[in-house]
Amino acid sequence: MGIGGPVGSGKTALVAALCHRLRNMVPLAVVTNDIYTTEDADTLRHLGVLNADHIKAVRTGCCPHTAIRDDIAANLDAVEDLEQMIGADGVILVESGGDNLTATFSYGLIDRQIFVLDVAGGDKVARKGGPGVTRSDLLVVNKVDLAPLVGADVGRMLSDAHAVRGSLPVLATTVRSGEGVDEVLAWLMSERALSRS
Amino acid sequence: MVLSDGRFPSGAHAYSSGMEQSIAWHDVTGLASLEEFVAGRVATTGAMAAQVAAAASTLMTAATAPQQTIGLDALDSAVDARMASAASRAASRQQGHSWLRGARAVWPAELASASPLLMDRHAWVTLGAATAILGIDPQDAACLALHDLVSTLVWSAVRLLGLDPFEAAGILAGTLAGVETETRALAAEAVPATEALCLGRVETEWISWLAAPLSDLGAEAHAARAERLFAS
Repeated sequence: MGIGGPVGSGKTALVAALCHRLRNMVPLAVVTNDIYTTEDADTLRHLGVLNADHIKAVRTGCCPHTAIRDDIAANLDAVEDLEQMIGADGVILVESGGDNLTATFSYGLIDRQIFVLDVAGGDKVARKGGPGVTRSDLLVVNKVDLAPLVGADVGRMLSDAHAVRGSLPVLATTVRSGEGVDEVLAWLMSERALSRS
Repeated sequence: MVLSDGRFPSGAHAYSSGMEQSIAWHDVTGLASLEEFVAGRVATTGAMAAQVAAAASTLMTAATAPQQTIGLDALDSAVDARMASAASRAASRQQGHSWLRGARAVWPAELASASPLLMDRHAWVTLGAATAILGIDPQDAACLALHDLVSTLVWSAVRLLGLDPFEAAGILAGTLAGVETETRALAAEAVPATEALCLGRVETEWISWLAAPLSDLGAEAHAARAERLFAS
């Protein structure tokens, strides 16, 4: 499962929240693609959501979008190592480095992808589109609790997203407080069941 | 041409072959010092890369199957012995692994049966052997290895220092043009020098021992850093 989106939208928080819920349900591992440090992987280790050896950090050579889309070799190496450890039946979350609205995963690397936006990044982002917004398998609009503080119109953002995405799903979350995470989890598990059938 | 295209998904984009650490140490600060650094690496590790790629290529066309295994194992050990840094050795094997993944996916019919023989080897060994199976001769394999080395150094410097990419491409082209004759000569000499290996005798002393010790130290320092963008 690829999880992408702009810097600071809540990708790592979503990965941590999903790990908390998934770890007793399925064999689980995480790949992080950090721009500069292993900070995201370290955050997950410090939160204690997974064994340290079930989290791998990939270097992206200044180009996080290249590592998840054009040249997925390093990510595939990491995914295959983890698959050997947890078995083909497990779930591997691949978190991209924070990038821009055009950065999406290659389906040579992942089976499904979630794109994470946040309301504080501006409520016009969903309208502006880009492949992450329009084509991801699930669009998550995060930090909806901040909407009144930043003058964002969540309803408008969600309807804009639905307008450009057709029948593809959109979910509103506040990952920090847990709001909406169970819905993301339910979607993930139903997609997993579909991909296995 | 497909294999030498920077857009070929070989995993190479995330490697700097020591450039990131050289920049951190202020050894490379701009175009002039980049050109000097590249010349130094070409003259040292570049010579070994050309010879090893050409030898691996020769083995795949001139030796029987059991001797190919003995010969590639010997070349692998020869590279181990010439790379003082454990981090560099690990990066080289990882690059070989990722490169082979790309090549196998593109040419499955040609490379499938040889894949077990080519796996988990140093990048120059894998490149030389796999390209031989694809019909590329030892001299061209050596040139491919040099192209890979120099473009890894040059393009990682462009990303890290914000260098003018046209000037950098000029350094890439100029360096490769300047070294091509010597690279082809090294490869041509490697073909008869590999004769013993083709007969199953482990003779690799003829492979260049020239090294870049500061780069070896840099590779170790780089691997210990938390904040880095490149895998090597």
